[in-house]
Amino acid sequence: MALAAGWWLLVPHDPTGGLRPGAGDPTAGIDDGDLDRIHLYGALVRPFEAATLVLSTAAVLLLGLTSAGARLTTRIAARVRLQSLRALLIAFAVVTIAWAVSLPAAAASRLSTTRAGGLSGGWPAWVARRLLQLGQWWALTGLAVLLVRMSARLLRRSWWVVLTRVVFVLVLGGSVVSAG
Amino acid sequence: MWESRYPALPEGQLRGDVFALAGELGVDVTDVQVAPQTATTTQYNAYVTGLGDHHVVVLYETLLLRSTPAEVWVVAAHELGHVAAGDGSRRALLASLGAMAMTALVGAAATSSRVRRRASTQQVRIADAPAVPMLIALTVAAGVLVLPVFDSASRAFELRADVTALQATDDPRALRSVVARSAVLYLDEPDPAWPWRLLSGHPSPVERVALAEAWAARERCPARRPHC
Repeated sequence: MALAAGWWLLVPHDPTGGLRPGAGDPTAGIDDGDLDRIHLYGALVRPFEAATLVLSTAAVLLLGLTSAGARLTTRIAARVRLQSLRALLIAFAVVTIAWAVSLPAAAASRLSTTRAGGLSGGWPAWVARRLLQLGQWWALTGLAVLLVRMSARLLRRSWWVVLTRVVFVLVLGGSVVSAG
Repeated sequence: MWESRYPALPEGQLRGDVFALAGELGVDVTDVQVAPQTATTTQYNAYVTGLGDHHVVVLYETLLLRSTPAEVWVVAAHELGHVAAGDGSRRALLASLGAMAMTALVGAAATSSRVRRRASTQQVRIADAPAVPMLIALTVAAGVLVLPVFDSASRAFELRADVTALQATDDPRALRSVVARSAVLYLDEPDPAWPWRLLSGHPSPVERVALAEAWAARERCPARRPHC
């Protein structure tokens, strides 16, 4: 409801301001040589990009929403007594598995990018970017897990109702800071 | 607090034109700066940073090196168009509402007995560690539903900023050439398949060029273009 209302109020209803663009030039004014290079890049890289996304999403869904996944993840850090620490370790494990599962497709995507003449740094830069991405996933997931645990423990049944408001304030604050 | 600290664009016609453009669009700009990106990338871009009455237009050095003044002007007009329309605040509010919607979806699903049965978490409380994988999976699933909505809003903002740029510069040819060059540099398909279009925050190059053509057909290039 809030998203629908926000959409109605914030998103322009007629972004083209009354202009009615036609079908447009299918080449967008790009010459044939560049167009061939773009199509080659798309054919080589897009499937791996899609695979990266699909594999990491599938891994998370399998781990979180199947009994086999539950059997696997309940073994993680089973001996850790402190529940917050155990929750964090499980979260990091799930994120790392999803990241690792999609890593071969991501590497193939990077390799294809170079072959197709696309821009990419060397392998060390690629590895550094991947590790940074994993670190960001850990940080965000860890924060989210701690927030949910705190809300659920303090508020019991209405935990997610209050959490939606906390998330609203956090994301808004983060957006303002990053906009500056 | 968040002031951009790149070197200032030297005094000259382009700097003056960007200030004039900002004034025309009602945006308070305190500086025009050049981000020295040449060493790290050949891609080109520009953005406006800052809050309240203090905005700084940042032009990538690569944009200045690879473009005509008319193209730089249309890119600056596009970015200033975002500020004039308050797109930064709109995006922030939409992101917050999207995050709220995601949290609500996760909450509703996590309390559903059907989902709990599927995830084998009937016996544990939400606050317990074994519920964590289910919560992460539900968040990812909610993200898959909500993100295309946000991207669709982003495309509308970008199209409107293109229209603002066209209104401010009356130069559809410059917009066309910027869109084409950008597509070549970023290796963007001019007309991508629908899944990629759905997940893109920008309209496709074909859509943007069609907009420029529609504008050209309407306005027929009046004489208000300092760089044509």
